[in-house]
Amino acid sequence: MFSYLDAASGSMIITAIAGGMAGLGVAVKMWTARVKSKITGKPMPEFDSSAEDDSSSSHD
Amino acid sequence: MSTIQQDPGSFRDPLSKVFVGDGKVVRAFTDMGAKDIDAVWKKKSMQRALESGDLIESTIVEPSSVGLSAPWVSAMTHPLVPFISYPYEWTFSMLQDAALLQLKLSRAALTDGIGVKDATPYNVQFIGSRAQFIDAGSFEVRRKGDPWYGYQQFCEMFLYPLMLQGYLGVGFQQMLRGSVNGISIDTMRKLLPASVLHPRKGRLTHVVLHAAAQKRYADSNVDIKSQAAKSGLNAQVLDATMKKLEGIVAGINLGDKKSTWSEYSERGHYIESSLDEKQKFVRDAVASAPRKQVWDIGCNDGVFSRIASAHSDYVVAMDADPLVIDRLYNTLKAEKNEKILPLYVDLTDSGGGVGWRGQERPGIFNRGKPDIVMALAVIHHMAITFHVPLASQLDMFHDLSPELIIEMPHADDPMVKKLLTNKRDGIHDDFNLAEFERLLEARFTVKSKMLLSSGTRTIFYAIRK
Repeated sequence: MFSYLDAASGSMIITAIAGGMAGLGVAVKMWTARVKSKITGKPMPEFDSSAEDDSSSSHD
Repeated sequence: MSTIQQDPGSFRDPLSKVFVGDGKVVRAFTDMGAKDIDAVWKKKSMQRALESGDLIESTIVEPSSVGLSAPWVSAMTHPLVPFISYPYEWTFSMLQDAALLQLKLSRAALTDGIGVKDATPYNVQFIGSRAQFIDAGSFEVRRKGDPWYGYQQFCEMFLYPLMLQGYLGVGFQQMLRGSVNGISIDTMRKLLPASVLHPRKGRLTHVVLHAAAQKRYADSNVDIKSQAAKSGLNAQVLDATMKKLEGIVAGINLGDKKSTWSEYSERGHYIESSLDEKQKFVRDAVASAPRKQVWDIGCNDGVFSRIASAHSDYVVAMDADPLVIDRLYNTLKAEKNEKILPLYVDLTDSGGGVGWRGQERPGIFNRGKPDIVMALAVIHHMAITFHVPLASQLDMFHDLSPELIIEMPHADDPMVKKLLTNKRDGIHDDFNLAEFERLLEARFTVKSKMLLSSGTRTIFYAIRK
């Protein structure tokens, strides 16, 4: 809930890439979303973490 | 009235702090920190880590029972670690084992919806040769979409130092001693070139791409965290990343197999016919009283550490050769030895306090007080090779310990002659037995001494005046 370290943007992307195939999908989705946003000029939709917060149960 | 004091090295996590005193260690939590620890503590992964000893023994107590009040709403006590050591005193295998422990606990936590706040080797300690995670406050409830906050820190403090040693044959210790933050991404990118002959696993992703990504997003205000979460950066992906890192870390090998002192015990010119009598002398001296902590300075393969260990609670075995210590560590680990802590320490350059105000991580002389120090076959190296005068060495021992077992090679000892070979004539004339005894007796009372049968060395057992 409150990590005192910043997750630097560059490092976050690498944690996805370094995960192999599963992570590669994340990287591609991020890249596609950015390209779409640039083409359409619309800002990328925000991620609502609180709405999905059931972290005490299991994997997400 | 509480007599415990906040540890000067515990300040980075706003939700929890460590207090030390009264023979115990207390970790206290703020309201927000307590909510986190309450939510994660009963989870299977945490209980398994406690049962296996991977996580330090922890007893939840009322803050008031240990003399703490607001803002502390929750607390736990831990046993004292016999001797706090730092990653720059560890060898390759020790840092590797600490890294694997960090990843093991982080992966297990992920499966339980628990996040780990950081990834620093300062959260790992060695109980003898057993690595143990000591920061129970590192665990928190993981929110969906949370990245691995400790990834960059893991690279800078575990992965890059191991790569430096394994891929380039360069010891990481001096760099970790120079910075509590480890080796930066940018520095590692410049230090580690590609190699066609010896592919460096993990370099492309964790060094090259990592450095490029850091540079690309250095001044960006894009909310990458939300984007990554929305694109599916979830626990499974992070677990896959950690699993691959486990493979990389486990696959890095310590390249060097020989060093100046790694063959010491076998080398013909230095085999001592007087080894048995020396062992008996040391045994008699150490066994003369119960000892809590013994320091064996210049321990080499640990023969005398083992003798001391049989008559004391804990031995800190130090040597200035990291390969020698790496071997000793692996031997002790195979034996599951938890009474001898092997450390790479060069007393002529052991470093002072580092980090915030120079107090965050104190130097070795401020981390423990031995009951007795053994300095066997070591003072001639410090005196002749490193030019630390005998008087200064004896002052150090006098400050450090109430009792001392010390071996003095005479001026005609073969090793002394060898060390003097290329020195200017006369500059070490004061390195002789008579002068040593004069200096020793000014500071210590000699309880017993013995001329070893080689005839060129005398060993002393002395009590501080």
